[in-house]
Amino acid sequence: MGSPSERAWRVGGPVPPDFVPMQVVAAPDGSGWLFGWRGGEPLSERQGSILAVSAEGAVSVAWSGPGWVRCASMRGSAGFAVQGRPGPVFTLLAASEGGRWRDVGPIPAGSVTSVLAVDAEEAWLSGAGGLLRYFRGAFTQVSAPGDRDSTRERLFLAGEQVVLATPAGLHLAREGGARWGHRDMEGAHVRALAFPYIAAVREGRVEIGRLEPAFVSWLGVVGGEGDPAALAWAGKAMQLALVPANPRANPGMILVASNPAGGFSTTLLKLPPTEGWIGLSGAKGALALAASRELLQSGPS
Amino acid sequence: MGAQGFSQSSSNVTPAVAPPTPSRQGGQSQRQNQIGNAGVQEQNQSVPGSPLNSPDTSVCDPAAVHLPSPVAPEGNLGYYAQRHGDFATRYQGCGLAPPTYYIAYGQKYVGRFTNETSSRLTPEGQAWLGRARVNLQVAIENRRAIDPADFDRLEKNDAGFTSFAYGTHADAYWNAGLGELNLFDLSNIGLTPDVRDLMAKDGLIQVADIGTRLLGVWGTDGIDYLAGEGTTAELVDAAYEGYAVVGEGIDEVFGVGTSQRLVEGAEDLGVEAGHLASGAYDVAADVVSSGVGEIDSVMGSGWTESTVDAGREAASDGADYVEEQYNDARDWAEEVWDGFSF
Repeated sequence: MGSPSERAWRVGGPVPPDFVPMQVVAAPDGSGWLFGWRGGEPLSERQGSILAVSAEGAVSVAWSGPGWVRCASMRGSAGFAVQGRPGPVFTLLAASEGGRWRDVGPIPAGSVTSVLAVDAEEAWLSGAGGLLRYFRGAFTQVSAPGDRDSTRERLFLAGEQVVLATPAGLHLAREGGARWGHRDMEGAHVRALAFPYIAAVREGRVEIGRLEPAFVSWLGVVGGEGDPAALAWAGKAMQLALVPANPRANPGMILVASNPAGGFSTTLLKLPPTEGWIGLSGAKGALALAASRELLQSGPS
Repeated sequence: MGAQGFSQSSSNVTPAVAPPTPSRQGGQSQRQNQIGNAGVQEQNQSVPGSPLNSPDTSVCDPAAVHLPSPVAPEGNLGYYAQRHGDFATRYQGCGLAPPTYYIAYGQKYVGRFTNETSSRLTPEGQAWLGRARVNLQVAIENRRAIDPADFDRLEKNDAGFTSFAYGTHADAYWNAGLGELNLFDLSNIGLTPDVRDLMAKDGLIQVADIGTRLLGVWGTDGIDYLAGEGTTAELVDAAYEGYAVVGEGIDEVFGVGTSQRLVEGAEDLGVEAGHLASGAYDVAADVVSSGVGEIDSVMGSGWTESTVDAGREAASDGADYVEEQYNDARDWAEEVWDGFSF
């Protein structure tokens, strides 16, 4: 494990200057996918776009279609993305062999803000009003405890299990969402999870913890107030992206990396302060797009 | 390839939402049907300022989705108050506050730009301001339009809304033509707290750099001659501010403390324009040079050099522009003198 200064950043691209990302998915070597749209501001003129980024920084168009690509999730070679069009109406896209994407079918929901890929046949989708499970071509509405809030809840995988993180704690799906287990998080709101590690906001502070069988082992407080947007780890090192609590005072994304000697180091990356512009993977893998449309990649040195 | 085997119809899985213009009639019975009287009272009692006897409280369900109405993004100053009002209407009596961004940033800064900054801008700068105002509002309206229910949730998450809105600023300003503005517009626009972050990489380097170059080339008389009495003082201030701002921006990649060294270096030069002109550029150059190793470690080898080159190129272009303006003014003055008979 190296120190943050050993992170090898490089500038890739170019990315089309009119590309607007809505989600970035990174691999440990800094390669990955950019999901978003191109074109003018009128929604009818937008063209959804999925860009593939190689570890060497080469950018290629993997898919394009009307509208925009709202969100995506990759798991190995499997992946799902959500295409939105004016209405709004949403369509599920799936990654195929060779990095191509195909239209799976319309999503029966009026709001979709995130998708979680479980494997090539299963994905979960969440929106402002509910949860959906996609499994082998069929969508099923899923009821989960509490009211749905697309801005305060996130779906994660814990091993092979789907976890819904809410302000009330972690809810573990069983039997495709027919039953839910609940885990109280001692007042902490889990905002990012890379099993078994979590990044949570508790009493205004960002804390890193590790899920243990019957408790949470809190590992430390991360400096800087913010909202954890992404968490990744490998070996004994981890990294965390924070949306600053006060973007006026801290314009950009805060990148937190664990120090081998203990504690965390922070870097302020000049990115728009929303989670849609950066993805993390492993201990140092990162893919981000700056407002200037410079493609920033990092991987192990 | 189409979807197969939907287990439920679209209508069943689309979240129940209220219409864009919420009806306030019959809300009490609906609300009571959802959670019961005890639930309504318990919730009302927990909401400060929501008297149980107020008819408005009966229709309020903070957890429900009340779809926002569209507001035309035409760049009007009243846009933000309208968005604020739309939320307040939808959630009247709920004890929920609209996003602070609407008034604290949108109305405040756009108003300040329009009422105070605009008069100091060239026609091109004023046109940029108009386009930027529209772009900022279009970004919000598009976020509403792509998923109205999610926008409703976002409006109820103040920190989330602020982050979203700030995330739209860079594109809104840049797409309005920020990169095409001249030195004086950039000085006026770029030194505002919001835009200066965007401009740190090249625009404000340009402001600071050109400020010192101008003073070195033309001196105080030349600058005042060109742009009016008192301009030199403004330019000195702009140069100081520019250095501070550039420093703050490059702190993010050059390392904490760089900006302080930058400002201290400029301040050590004293307040006299000549001192600033003769030394500040070197101070900046030294600071930038000392940061090269650090920035390359973050952004990749060669990034700093290309950035500095870009900044210098922009500065050179800007200086050429001002020189052209000065020449025009001098020619005009000579013509005026020639018109007199001695």
